[in-house]
Amino acid sequence: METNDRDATPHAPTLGTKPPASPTPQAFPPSPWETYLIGKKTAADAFLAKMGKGAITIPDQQTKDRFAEAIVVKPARLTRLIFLLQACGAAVPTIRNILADLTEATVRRLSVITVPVSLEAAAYEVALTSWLSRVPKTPLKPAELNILFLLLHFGWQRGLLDHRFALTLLSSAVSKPVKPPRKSKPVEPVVLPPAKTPLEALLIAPPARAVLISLVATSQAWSSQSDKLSRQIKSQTAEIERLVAESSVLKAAIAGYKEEIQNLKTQKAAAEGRVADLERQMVEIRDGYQHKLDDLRGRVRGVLQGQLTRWLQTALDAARSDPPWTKAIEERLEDALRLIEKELQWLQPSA
Amino acid sequence: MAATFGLDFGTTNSVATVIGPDPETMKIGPRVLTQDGRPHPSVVWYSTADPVVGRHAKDQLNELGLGVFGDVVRSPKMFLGSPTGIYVGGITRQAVDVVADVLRFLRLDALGRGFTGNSFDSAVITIPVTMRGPARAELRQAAQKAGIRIHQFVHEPLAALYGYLRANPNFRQELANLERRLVLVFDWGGGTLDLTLCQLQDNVLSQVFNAGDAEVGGDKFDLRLRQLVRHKHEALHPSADWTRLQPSSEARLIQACEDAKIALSSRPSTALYVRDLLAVPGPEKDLRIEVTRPEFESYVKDLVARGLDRIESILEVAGVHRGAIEFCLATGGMVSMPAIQEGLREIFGINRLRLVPNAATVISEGAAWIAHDGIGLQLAKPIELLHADNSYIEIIPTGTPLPLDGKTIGSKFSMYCVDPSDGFAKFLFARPKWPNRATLGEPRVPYTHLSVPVDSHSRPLLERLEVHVTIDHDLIAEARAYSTMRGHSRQTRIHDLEFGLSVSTVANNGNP
Repeated sequence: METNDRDATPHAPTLGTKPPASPTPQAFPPSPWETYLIGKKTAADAFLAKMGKGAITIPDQQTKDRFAEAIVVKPARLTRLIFLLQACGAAVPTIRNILADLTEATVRRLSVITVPVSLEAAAYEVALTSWLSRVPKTPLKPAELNILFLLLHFGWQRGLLDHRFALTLLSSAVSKPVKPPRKSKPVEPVVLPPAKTPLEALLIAPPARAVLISLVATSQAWSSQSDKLSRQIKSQTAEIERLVAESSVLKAAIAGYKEEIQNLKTQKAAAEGRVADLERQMVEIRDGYQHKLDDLRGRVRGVLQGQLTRWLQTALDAARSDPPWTKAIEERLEDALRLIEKELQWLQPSA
Repeated sequence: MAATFGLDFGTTNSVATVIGPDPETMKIGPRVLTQDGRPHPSVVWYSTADPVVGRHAKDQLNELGLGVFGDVVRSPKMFLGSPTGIYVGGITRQAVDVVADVLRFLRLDALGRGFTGNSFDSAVITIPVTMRGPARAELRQAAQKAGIRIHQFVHEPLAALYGYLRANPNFRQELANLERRLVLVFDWGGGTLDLTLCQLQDNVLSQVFNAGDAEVGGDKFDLRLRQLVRHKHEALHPSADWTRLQPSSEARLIQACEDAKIALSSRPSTALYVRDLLAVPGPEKDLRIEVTRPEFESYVKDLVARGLDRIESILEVAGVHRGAIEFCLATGGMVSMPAIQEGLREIFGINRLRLVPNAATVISEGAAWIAHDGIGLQLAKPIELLHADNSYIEIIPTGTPLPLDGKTIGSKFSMYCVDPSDGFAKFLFARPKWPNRATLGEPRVPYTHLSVPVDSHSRPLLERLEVHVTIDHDLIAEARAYSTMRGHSRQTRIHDLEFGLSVSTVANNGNP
C-alpha cells in the first residue's frame, strides 16, 4: 500500500492539494465542535470543560465529516484541533473518545497517509515513516509539524504508537539531515546533542517559554513514569528476594527430603538385601537338609540293599552248605556287625 | 546357589558335587551327589529303548574289566577320541552318544535332588592328564548333548589337590606353609593311575609335571583277583569245569571278588563263598576258598611295583629327590590297598603321606570348589619358541588365563628365516622345565616341532615367517607357521599343557 501510495503521489502531500470529494454542504447549524474550529478563538481546556458538562451529545457521522471538512478547507484550523488534543488529558473519557473520533475523521479526510483499515501498530508506523520520508525537507514546516502532531496524537489515542517511535519521528522531523535524504530511503533520524541528564536536555533547549514548559512537562512525565517503574522494580526486587528466600527454604527442605529419601532407599535396599539373603539362606538350609536327608536315605539304602544284604545272604548260603563253612559265616557276620557299628556312628548327631 | 557344579567323570565311577552351606553350621562345604552313598558307576546298559546308567547297569555286568560286554558299556570315557564307534548290543554307537547318556543321567540325578535354582547346566569337569585333545573335544560335545555346558576342564590330580586343600578350615595357612614347596598327587583309580607334581608359588598352584598309566588301573587288580580265585578253586577241585558257569554266577563272583578286595584291605585273609557257581554236581559247584593278603599281593605285585615306579619316574624327569616332596596326596580307590600304602610309606614316610577319607569323591569336590570359587586355569609355563641364536622367545606367557567355554586366546609372532638352504624353516616349541624359571640357562622340555617349506634359493633373513599360537577351550594349543614367500602353512597341536590355579582371592572356609 505504501508503494502504491508513493507512486500515486510522488511528492510529499501538502494541505490544499486536491482533496477527495467533499460532502455536499447542507443547511443545518454547525456543531459545537465545528464552531470551535471556525468560530471565535476559545481556550481549548475551557471548551472541553464546557463540553463535558451536562448531557454529552455524541457526534454523528455527518458532524464528524463537517468537522474534518472545516480543517481541510482551512488547514490553519488544525492548530485548534491540536490544542484540543493537548488539553483533553483532563477531560472526561466520553469527551476524549469524541475527540479521538473527530481526529480519526480528520486524518482520514486529510488523506495525508493511508490509514490502515485494521489499525495495526506496525502498519501505522510504516505509514507515518513513509509520510515523513516524502516530506521534501526537514526540519518540517509549521503546517507539516501540525500534521505530524495530529498523526502522533491519533496514533497515541488509538494505541498505535509507543513513545520511542514517536520520539524518533519527532527527532527526524525537527532535525536537519546530515546528508540529503534519498527519495527511495526513509529519513534517517539525526542524532541530537548528547544529554546525559534531564537537566542537560533542558539546558540545550531553546530558551522559549512554550518549549521549556513542554520540556518540563516531558521531564515530569518521564520522572513520574521512572518513579513508578522504580517503585515497581523495588517492589519486584523485594518480591524476588522474598521468593529467593522462600526458594532457599524450600530447596533446603527438598534437599532434606532428598536425603531422607536416599536414606530410606538405602535402608530399603539393605532390607531387601537382607530379605534376599535370608530367603537365600532359607533355600540353602532347606536344600542342605534335603541333601542330608537324601544322602542319609541313600546311604542306609546302600548299606541295607548292598553290603549288608549280600553278606547276610552269603553267611546264610555258607550256613546251608554241606558242611556249613563256619569261617565264611563268621567273617560275613563280623563284616555285617562292623558295618552296622560304623553306620551307627555315622548316624550320631555329632558325626 | 552356585550355578556351576563340579563333575568327576571317571573311568569307573562318576560323581557330581555342588558347594553349599551346611544347614546346621552354615559353613560352606561340598554336597556330594552319590547314589546310595557311593559314586555312580560309569556304566551304561542298552537293554531297552532308554539306556540304563549307573549301579543298576553295573549289576548287569557278567565280566570284569573295562569296555563293552554284550549290551553293557563300562567306562565309555576310554572310547572318546577314537575314530571307531562302540559296538554294543548289536548296534554301533558313537562314543559321544554313550558318554552323553552317562552325563545326562548324572545331570538328571542332580536335578532330581531338588536344589533350588540350580539347573545343573554348567560344570567344571575333570579329565585325566593323559586325555588327548580329540577326546576332550568329544567330551565337550557329549556334555552339550546332555545339556551341560563345560565351563572349564581341570586335570583330575589338580582338582584332587585343590579339593583336599580347600576342605582345610585353615586353607590360607596351609597355602602359606606350602609356598614354593612340591606336592605329588598320586591318583590311583579304577581305570588309570595319574600323577602330577605340583608347586605352589605366589598363590598359584601349578602343575609342574604330569604322568599317567592306563595299564595299572583298579580293573586290572580285579581281573588278577578273579584269576587267583579261579586258580585256587581249580587247585582244590582239579576236575572243576569253569566253562560251565551258572548264568547268574559271574555277576555274583565279580561282586564277591570286589568284596574280597576290600576285605583284604583290613584283614589278613578273607573267605569267598559263592553258592552254585558252576552247573556241575559235587562240591566243586560251590566256590569255597580262602584268599590271603600275601597271595593277592603276590598276584598283583607287578602292577603295584609298576604304579609305584611311576613316582620315581616323574621325580627323575623333574630332577628332584623324593625328599623334596612336601607331601604326597594319595587318592583313588586303589590307595586303600595295604601293599600300595606300604609302598607309598616307604617312599615318603608316614608323615608325608596324606590319605584322604573321601578318596572316591575328592576330585569331584575339588572341581566343585573351583567352580564355586570362580577361579580359572592359567598357563603354568609359557609356550616358547626356539630362536636361531638358541634363545627362547616367549609366545604365550606364563600366567595367561586360559579360555573358558567358547573362547580362544592367541598370540602372533613374526621372524625371518635364518637358514633356508634346505628348503625348510624348523620350529621347536618348548616350555621351561619349571614354572617361573624361564631364563636362558634353564632347561627346557619340548612341546612339539614344526617344519614349514621356505624358498631355498632366497638369501638368509629374507623370507618372513609368521607364527600364530592359539589355545582353545579344550585347552589344546595349536601352533601354525606360515612362510610368506613360499606361501606354505603348517600346523601342529599341543595337548600336554600344564596348568595353574590362582588361589590368591580364595578365603578360608566359611568366609567366602
